[in-house]
Amino acid sequence: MELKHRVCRRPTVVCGVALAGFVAAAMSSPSLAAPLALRPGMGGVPDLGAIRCETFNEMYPAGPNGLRQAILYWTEGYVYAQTGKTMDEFLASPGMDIWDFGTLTDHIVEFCKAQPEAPVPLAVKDLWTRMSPGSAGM
Amino acid sequence: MRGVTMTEAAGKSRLWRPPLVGIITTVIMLFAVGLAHAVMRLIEQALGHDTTYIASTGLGFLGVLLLWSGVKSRSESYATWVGFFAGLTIWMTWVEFFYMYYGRKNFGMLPRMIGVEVTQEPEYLIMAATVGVLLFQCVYYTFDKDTRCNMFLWIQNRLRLRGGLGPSTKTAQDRNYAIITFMETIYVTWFCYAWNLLVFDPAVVGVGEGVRWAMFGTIFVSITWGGYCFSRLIRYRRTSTALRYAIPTANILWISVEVSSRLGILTEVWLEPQKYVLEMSLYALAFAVLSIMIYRAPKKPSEVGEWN
Repeated sequence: MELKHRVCRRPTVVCGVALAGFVAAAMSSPSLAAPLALRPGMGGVPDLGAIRCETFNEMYPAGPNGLRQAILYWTEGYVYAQTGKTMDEFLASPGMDIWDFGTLTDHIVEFCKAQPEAPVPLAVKDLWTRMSPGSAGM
Repeated sequence: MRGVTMTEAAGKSRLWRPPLVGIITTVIMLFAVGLAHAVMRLIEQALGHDTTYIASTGLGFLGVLLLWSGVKSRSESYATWVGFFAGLTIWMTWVEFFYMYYGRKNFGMLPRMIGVEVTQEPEYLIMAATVGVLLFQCVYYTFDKDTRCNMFLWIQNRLRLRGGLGPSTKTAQDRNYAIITFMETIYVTWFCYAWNLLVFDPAVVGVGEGVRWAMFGTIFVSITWGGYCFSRLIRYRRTSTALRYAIPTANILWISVEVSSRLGILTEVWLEPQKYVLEMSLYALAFAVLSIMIYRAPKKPSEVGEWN
């Protein structure tokens, strides 16, 4: 009983709360967060938006169709964020019949080939400017 | 072309005796592994991936044709060479190129990366998944009483299986050396690939400092095991037998080459033959000269199909 009383003395409680607060702050601090990583053994990169076209170009010969699929997913997310529509809904608009798996991903592959220093999201943005309403298409 | 028989020349030859036969056959097989890598790269670059996938079907059949000529032959020497080249051809085309097609194109897989560098192409991710198939065949060979593979015989002796399995049903004369060498080439290549791929798999060995230790451990085992095989091989006198034994010897030693390359200790020039033209030309020339020397070396009558 006496021991319990000692532990709960005011300075101890204050120090304990301060320490807990410090640990919580440190754990939630963005500067200490580990970089996003895939599970060991998986192929690809954890964030396509974080790589440059030169990395895209390096990966491309070793997994052309997988990379096209991955960048299509990324583009679909981008289109959804811009329009609130799925890719199929977006492509259902008039004049969009030129776009399919091949032409959409070809655009990004060609962009990255031409501009290896550019970040990959720039290739998707460039595609978006071609696709978005009012543009002349490809 | 036919080698001079041992009875005619072997006695006179001061050259074709241990340890030279073992040393040359090991060097030939080490060169062969590197050249096979280079040939694959050249085919990919010359034809492009899509054409390579189609061509690999036909190229594999060329390997079968080669094997057919070896199976018909009574010459052990010819059958061994042909079985080896047929095995190499079929491994490159029907295994590696087919896996490449399925991984890169059909399944749409992504390569494994470390940072911004590709470390494992999809075909090798598929190959790593074949380890179970490899092991069940390993079980078959372990319990096959007709096997003459030194490793399986060693396992059978350790498991006290020889008595239970009974005597082999085949004599040396009954064996078809083309198909034996063909299967040996494929199986040894497969085994060594699987071993390498397990060591390179972060899901198996983890990430961080442990990987380096796994790699150093692999180099140690590879050089010790390969060195042991080599120490046996340098006692061989028959060139055909030496050639067959050099296949696992060189492939086991080659594992340390692959791991050293991954550690950045050496540059694999055979992966960029167009960049290292001179090196690869000398490499190919050395392989051709040594192979012709071994093929023309004096043979025992049994090696050229003359059984008494």
